[in-house]
Amino acid sequence: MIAPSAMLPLQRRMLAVAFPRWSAECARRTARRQGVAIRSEAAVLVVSESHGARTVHDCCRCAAALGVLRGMSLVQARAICGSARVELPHVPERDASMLRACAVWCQRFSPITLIEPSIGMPVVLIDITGCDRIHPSEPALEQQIRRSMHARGFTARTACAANAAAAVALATARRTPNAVRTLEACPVRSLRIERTVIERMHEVNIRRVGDLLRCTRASLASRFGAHTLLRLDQAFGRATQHIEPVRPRPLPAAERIFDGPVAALDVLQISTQELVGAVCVQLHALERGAREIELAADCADAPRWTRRLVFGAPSANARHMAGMLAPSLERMKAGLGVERFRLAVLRMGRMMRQEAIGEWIDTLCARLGDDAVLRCGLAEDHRPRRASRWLPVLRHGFDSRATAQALRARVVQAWRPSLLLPRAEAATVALGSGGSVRWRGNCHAVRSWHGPERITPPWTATAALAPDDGGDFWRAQCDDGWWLWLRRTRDGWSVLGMWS
Amino acid sequence: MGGIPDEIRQRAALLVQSSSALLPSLRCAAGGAPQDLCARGASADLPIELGVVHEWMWREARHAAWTVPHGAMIALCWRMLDSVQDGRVAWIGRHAWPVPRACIRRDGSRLLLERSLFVDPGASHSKDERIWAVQQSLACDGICAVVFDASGCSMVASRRLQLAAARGDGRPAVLALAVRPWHERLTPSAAATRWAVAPSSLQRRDAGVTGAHVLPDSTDEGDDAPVWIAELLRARGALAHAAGQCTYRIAATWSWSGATPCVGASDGDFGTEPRT
Repeated sequence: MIAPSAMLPLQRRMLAVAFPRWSAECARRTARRQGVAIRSEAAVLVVSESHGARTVHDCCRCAAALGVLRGMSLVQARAICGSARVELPHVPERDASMLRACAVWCQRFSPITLIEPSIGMPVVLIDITGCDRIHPSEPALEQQIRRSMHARGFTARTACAANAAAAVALATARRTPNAVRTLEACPVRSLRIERTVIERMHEVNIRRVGDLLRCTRASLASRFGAHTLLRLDQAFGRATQHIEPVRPRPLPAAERIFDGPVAALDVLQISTQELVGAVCVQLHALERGAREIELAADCADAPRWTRRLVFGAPSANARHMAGMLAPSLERMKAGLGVERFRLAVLRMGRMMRQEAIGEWIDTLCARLGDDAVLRCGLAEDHRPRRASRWLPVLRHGFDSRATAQALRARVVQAWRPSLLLPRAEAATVALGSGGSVRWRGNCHAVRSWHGPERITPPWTATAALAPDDGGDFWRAQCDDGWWLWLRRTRDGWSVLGMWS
Repeated sequence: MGGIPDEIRQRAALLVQSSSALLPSLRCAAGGAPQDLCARGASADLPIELGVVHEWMWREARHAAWTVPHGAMIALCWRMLDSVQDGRVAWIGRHAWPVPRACIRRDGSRLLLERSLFVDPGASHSKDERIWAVQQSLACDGICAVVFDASGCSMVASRRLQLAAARGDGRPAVLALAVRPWHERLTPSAAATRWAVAPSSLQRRDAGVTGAHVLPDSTDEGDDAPVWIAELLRARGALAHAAGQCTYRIAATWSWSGATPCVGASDGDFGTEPRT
C-alpha cells in the first residue's frame, strides 16, 4: 500500500545561481588560459566601446572596492585604479558561450538547467524538483555549487525557491547567503524589469517588491506596464513561466550509407578517411579534440562491427585518426560487405598544446597494448615499494591537473635507494666497526652504518601480501664507494636496494 | 708536395685544443664539421651533446641482474628540463625506470615526475618492440629526453636509433640516453659516446686523485653521501686516447656537481677502449 504522502505531487524547487562579476571573471579566466599573468590583487577592468566612448562594462571585486562602477568612463576608472590594473576587452559572445557551458556543467546536479534570458546579472537556473534523494539538503547543495564556482574563479550567489522568478530574484538580491530571506524585501530590479521602468518606480519611491504589492494591480499595469505585473505574478507563483532547458550539443558524428554492400578494402578506407575528415571539421569548429571515437559498420550477412579507440590526448588530427583506424579495417569481418558506416565521437576534451605526445601515446598503445604507457603517482607510504604506483595514461590521462593530483602526496623525508632490487637478495653482514657486507660474491668493507630505521607494514597488510615490507633498515657506506640498502629481520640480512 | 692534409691539420688543432677543453672533440651527429662534444649541449647546460645517443653502463662484476646508473640519468634529465620550456621525458623499458622517489628534488620539486612518461613494452614483447618504441620516442617532437633500455641492441638497431635521435633541422634536439649492461661494453654500437659509472671509493677520494674527482668543498652531507665517477670510455669519431671523467654526487636528490671532465685522466683499470 502506498502511503498518502507518497502520492502527493512533487513540490517544484528551483535553484538559481547568479554571477555578479561574470564578465570580469570570464575575461580573467580567458586571459590566464592565454598565458597572460594577472596578479590576484590587480584591478581587472572589462572595457566596452560604443560610438568611440570607452566605458567600464564590468570590473572585478578589487576594482569595485576602489570605487569603480559599471558604466563609468575608462579614463575615470584608470584614475581610480592607478597602475595596478589590467584592461581586458568585453566579448559578449565569449560570456554567453561560457554561461552556456556553465549551464551544461550544472547538469551534474540536475538534468534540467536553463539560462535566465532576461536582463541584468547572468543567472543559471537548476530545476532540483525531485532531487532531494540525491541532494538531501538545499543549503548544502548551494554551498557545494558556490565552492565549485569559486574553485573555477567565479563568484556565485545562490538561492532556492518554489519557482524560477522567485529564485532569480532572491539570488540576484542576496549579497550574502542569508541576507535577504523574503521576496518582499528584494529590490525591484531583482524582478528583472527594464531599467527605464525601474527608474520610473524609483521616482515614486517604489524600491522593494513589498512596495509593489501595496499598489493595486490596475495602477501597476497602467503605470509600469503589463510586463511588470507578469514578472510580479511569476515571482509569487500566480503565473507560469516557460522554461527552455539547455541541451548539450550533440557530439560530432558522420555517417556514410552505401548503395549496396561494399567489400573492397580501398573503398572502405577512403570512406573512413572521409568520415574522419568530416568529424575533424566539426571538432575544429568546437575547438575540441576527440578522446574516444567509435567506428560502426552495418554489414550484410554479418553482425554489426564496431571499433572503439581511446586517445591519449584529445585529437582533431584527421591523419592520425585515420591511421589508427586503418589496421582494424583490414581485420574487419564484413560478411558480404558494408552497407553503412558511422563514425561517432564518444568523448571530447579540450585540445592540449602537446598534440605530438598524444599521437605518440596512441601509436605505442596501439602496438604494445593499452597499459604500455604509464605515468607515476605517489602514495603516502613509508615502504619504498609502495610509495609509488603506475597509472596507465589512456585511462588516467596525463594532463597537468591529473598529474599534479597524482603527485600531491607527501613523501617520506628519509633516505631511500635509487634502485630497488626485484627481490631481496640474501647477504652476510658483520655489523659494527670494521664490519662488512658479503653480497653477490663480493665482500664490501663497511666504513659507516646509518640506521636502523624500523619500517613496519600497516596492520591491514598480511605477511603473505607484503613479504619484504617490514624490518630494520640500514644504509651501509662501503669503502669501495657502494651504498647499500639493507634489511635485517629474524631470518637474517638481505640487500633490498642500492644507490646507483 | 701537398704538405699536411687538411684533415690531419684539423685533428692536430683539435688535439691541442682538447688538452685544455673540457671534453674531447666529436663529430656532430649529422656528419658535419667537427665540433666540441658539449657544443650542442652547452646551451642546455649539459656535459653531453644533444641529438646523438649516449650509452651508459654501470661497472660491475658479471651478474644475472645488471644495474642502471639511475643517478646519472636523473641528473641529466633534470638538467635538460631546466633548460627547456616544454617537453616530456620518456623512460622506455622497465629496467630503465628509476625509483620515483629519487626523481624528487631536495626543494620538493616534482617536475621530472610530472613530465615523465614510462613505457613498458611488456615481457611478452620482443626486443624489436622495445627498439621500435625507442625509435618512435626519439622521433617525437614533444619529447625532450629519452632514457631507454638498450640491452641486446645490435649495431644495426643502434644506427637506426642514432638516425632517429638526430632528427631534422629546426626540430628540437633530444637527449638520448641508452643504458646497457656492463658485459656489453665491447659490443659494437653506433652510439656517439659510451660512459661507465662506478662508485667513487673513499680511498681514492681521500688520496685526492688528480683530475678524477672534483667535489664541492661545502656540501651539506660532506662524505656522508654517495658519489660516483662517470668515465667516458669511448667517443665515436674522437681522437685516440680521448677519455674523460666527471664526478657527480647525490644529496637528498641527484645533481651534477659541476665537476669538469678531464681529458686523458682515465684510471688504468678502466682503460680506454679503441675508438670505433
